[in-house]
Amino acid sequence: MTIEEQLNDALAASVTLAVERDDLRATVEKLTVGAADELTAIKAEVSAKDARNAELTAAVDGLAADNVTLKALVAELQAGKVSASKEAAKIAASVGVSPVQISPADAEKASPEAVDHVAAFLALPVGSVERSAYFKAHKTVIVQGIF
Amino acid sequence: MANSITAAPAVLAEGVLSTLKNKLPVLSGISTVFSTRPGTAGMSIQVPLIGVSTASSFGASGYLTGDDATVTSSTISLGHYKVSSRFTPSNLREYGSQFFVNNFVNTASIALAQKVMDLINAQVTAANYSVSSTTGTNLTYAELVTVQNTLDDAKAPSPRYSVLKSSYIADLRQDTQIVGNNVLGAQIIRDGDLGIIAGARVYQFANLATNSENLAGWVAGPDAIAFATALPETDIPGWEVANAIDADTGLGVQVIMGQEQSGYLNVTCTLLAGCSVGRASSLVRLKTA
Repeated sequence: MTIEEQLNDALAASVTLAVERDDLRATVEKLTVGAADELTAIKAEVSAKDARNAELTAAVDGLAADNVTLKALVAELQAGKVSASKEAAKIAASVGVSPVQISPADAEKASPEAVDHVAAFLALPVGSVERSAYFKAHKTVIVQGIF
Repeated sequence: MANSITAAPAVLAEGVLSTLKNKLPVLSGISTVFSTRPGTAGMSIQVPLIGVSTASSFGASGYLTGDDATVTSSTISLGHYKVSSRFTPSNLREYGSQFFVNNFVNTASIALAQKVMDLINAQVTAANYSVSSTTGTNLTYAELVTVQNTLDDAKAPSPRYSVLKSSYIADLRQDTQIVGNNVLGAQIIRDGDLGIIAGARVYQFANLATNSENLAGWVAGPDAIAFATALPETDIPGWEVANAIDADTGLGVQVIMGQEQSGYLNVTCTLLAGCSVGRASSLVRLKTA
């Protein structure tokens, strides 16, 4: 190979390398720009998440405060709570009824067959609305019970 | 269970009362006193008549003047009426309490209702109520309107009522002016209840007596007739006595029960009742001729 030929090859190689260099530069520049955009988007997303996080933190703090208030209220109500049986006993005492050991509500309810409708009817005052209403409501049983 | 027969009079009295009350709706339209005071036949009860008052100008006498000159009263002497049934002990065993009660309640309530209506019916004579309208064999709506006008002129108070014999009721149920009415007609065709016609609530009395004066019914204000009842004072040794009194009206009946020497179980429903003339111009008699 002559010197001229070697020079031509070197020039050709130089041109090829320059083209490759330009391609690489363009690719690098492109990648740099894309990365910057992506970075900006990520930064925006992180920023939004930070804001949401702050918001939720504030809400949780508020709920925690409410929880404390409600616990205090429950404690206060429990301190003043009176059981139903104690209250019933108090009412009974106020109207002069002797307290019973077992609440009638807790006792086994009488079956309908066990109710003496004749006696219940006779116990109601003559001429009262209740007596007439009781008779109408239990007429058949009362009639059957008279003898 | 108090399955003693001593409870029976109270149960029977309550049963008779509830049935009797339903059979005498006309009593709600007339001046009544239902006393629960025990008494005997001949007992007197004063019944205030439901009337109308007029307002006067306030003057020098202030409020010390009465403006209720039309509110008067009528004194009624009560009669003692009873319905007795007798059952043998074997009857009771055979048929049971249901038959015993139903039989007696129906018998007694029908008989007492009839007696009460007869007492009222007997008052409606020309001697007691001089105004009449000869409505003929058939009654029309137009004739009732004429009677309404007569009562209006006489200033008869409301609510008014009419008691009509059965054929007059049938006439009204077929009167085209009534049944042809869009509002009234459908209801009357469906259940036959005439309700209020020409300002008066209509009651049917199937056993209306003519009083030998061709009486076929009457239209009246509440002050035309006074009616009163009371409970008899009963004390028969060994017999059970029970009263039942209606809480709304005070109407009461008494049932007494006991074993006769013959062995029959005697069950009697009884009451004191009476009727008298109130304001004569507040009633118009309807006559067939």
